[in-house]
Amino acid sequence: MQNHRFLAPKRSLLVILAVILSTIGCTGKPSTTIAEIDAAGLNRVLGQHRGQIVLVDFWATWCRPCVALFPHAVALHHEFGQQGLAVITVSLDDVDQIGLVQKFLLRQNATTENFIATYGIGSAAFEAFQIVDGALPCVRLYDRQGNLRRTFGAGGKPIQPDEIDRAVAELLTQENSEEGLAN
Amino acid sequence: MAHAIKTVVAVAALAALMVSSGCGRRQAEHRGALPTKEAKQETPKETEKQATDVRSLAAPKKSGVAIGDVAPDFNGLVGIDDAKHSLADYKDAKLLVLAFICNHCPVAEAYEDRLVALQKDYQSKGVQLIAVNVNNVPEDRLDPMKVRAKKKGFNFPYLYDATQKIGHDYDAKVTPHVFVLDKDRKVAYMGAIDDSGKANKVKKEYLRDALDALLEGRQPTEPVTRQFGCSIKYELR
Repeated sequence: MQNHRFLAPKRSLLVILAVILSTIGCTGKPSTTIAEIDAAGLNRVLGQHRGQIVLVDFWATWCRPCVALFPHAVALHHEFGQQGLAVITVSLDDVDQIGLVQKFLLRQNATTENFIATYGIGSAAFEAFQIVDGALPCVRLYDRQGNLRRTFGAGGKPIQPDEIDRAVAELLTQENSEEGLAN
Repeated sequence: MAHAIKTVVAVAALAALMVSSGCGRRQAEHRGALPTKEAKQETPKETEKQATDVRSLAAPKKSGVAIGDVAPDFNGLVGIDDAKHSLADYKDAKLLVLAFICNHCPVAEAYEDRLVALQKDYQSKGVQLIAVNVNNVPEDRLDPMKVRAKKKGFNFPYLYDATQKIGHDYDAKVTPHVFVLDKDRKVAYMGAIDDSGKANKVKKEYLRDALDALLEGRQPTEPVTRQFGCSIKYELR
C-alpha cells in the first residue's frame, strides 16, 4: 500500500533529478578543450595564472615517454586543481594531427588546459618554447609569482613522477615569498 | 503527500551533494580565473620577468662535445653486418656524419629516407654517414635494427652500443641527433638534420649546408642547431 503511494511521485521526481543532473553536467563524459598556441601565447597564459602554481607539460603523441607520463599530469590536475595548481599541456604534434591529439585527450579525461603548438614538428617549436636539449617530455613548474622553479626531463634522464609530485607539494605549501628565484 | 515531500527533500539533498562534490572542480576553475584581474595590472612587468626566464633557458648547457673538440673515439661497436666497427676504420672519409637514431622513435623514422638520400648524394664527395643506436628497449636492439635497415635500404653502417658509452661521450640527447666530424676528426657541426620532422615542410637543410661548407673548406654558418626528437633513454650507470 505504501509502495503504491510511492510510485507515482517517484516517477516525476526521477525526471526532476535527471533534469537537475544534466543541467549541472555531472553526468556524461567531461569535455576536453584544445587550442593552438605559440610561445607568446603561452607566456600570456602563464600571466593569466599568476597566483597559482603552474605545471606545463610539453608532450607529443609521437613521444612514448610523454604518453606514459601524461596521465600523471592529469592526475595532478584532479588532485591539486582546487588547491591552486594549474596544469597546462602543450602538444608538439603537427597541427594537422589535432584530431588525433583531441582523441588522446578525451581518452585521458584531460580536463587540463590543453594546447597544440602552431609550429609543427621541427626546430621552430623546440626553439620557440626553449625545450632544453630538444627532448620531450619536458615539464616545467612555475611558482605563484610566475618564476620558473623546476624543469624536468632535460638531458635524457627519465622523468620520475614522484619528483614532480614533491616539487608541486613544496610549491603549494609555500606562501608568496621571494625566496629561491628561478634556477 | 508526506512521502512525496520526503522524497523531494531526499532528491534535492542528493542533488546538492552531487553539486558540491563532483562538480566542485568547475567552481574551482572559475575561482582560478579571479587572479586574472590582479595579474593584468602587473602583466607588463611580469611578462618581462617571464621573457627573462625563457631567455635564460637559451644559455648553452655543458654537453659532451663542443665545436672544435676532438671527436670521442669508439671501438668495437657491433654493426648490423655483425662486424665490429671503430672510428679508425673510417679514416679515409673526408667527413663523417655520426647519426644517433633508433627504430622506435617516429621522428627518427621520418628521417630514415632522408639519411639514405644524403648518403647517396654525398658518397662521391667523400662523406660517410654512420648511424648509431644506443637505446636498449627491445625494438631497438640489433635484430630489429637489421630488419629496419634492410626494409629502408640503409646504405650506411648501423651500429649498436648496448653500453651507451658513445651516446654519453657525445652527449646525444635525442634521436635523431647528428655530429659532423671533419677530416681532422674534430666536431664541426652538431644538432638537427634539418628544421622539420616532415620531409615536405623542410625549409632549412642544416646538415647538408654544413657538409657543403666544410667540403668547400669553410666553417658552417650554423655549426650548432637545436636537435629535436625522442629523448634517448640512458640507463642509470
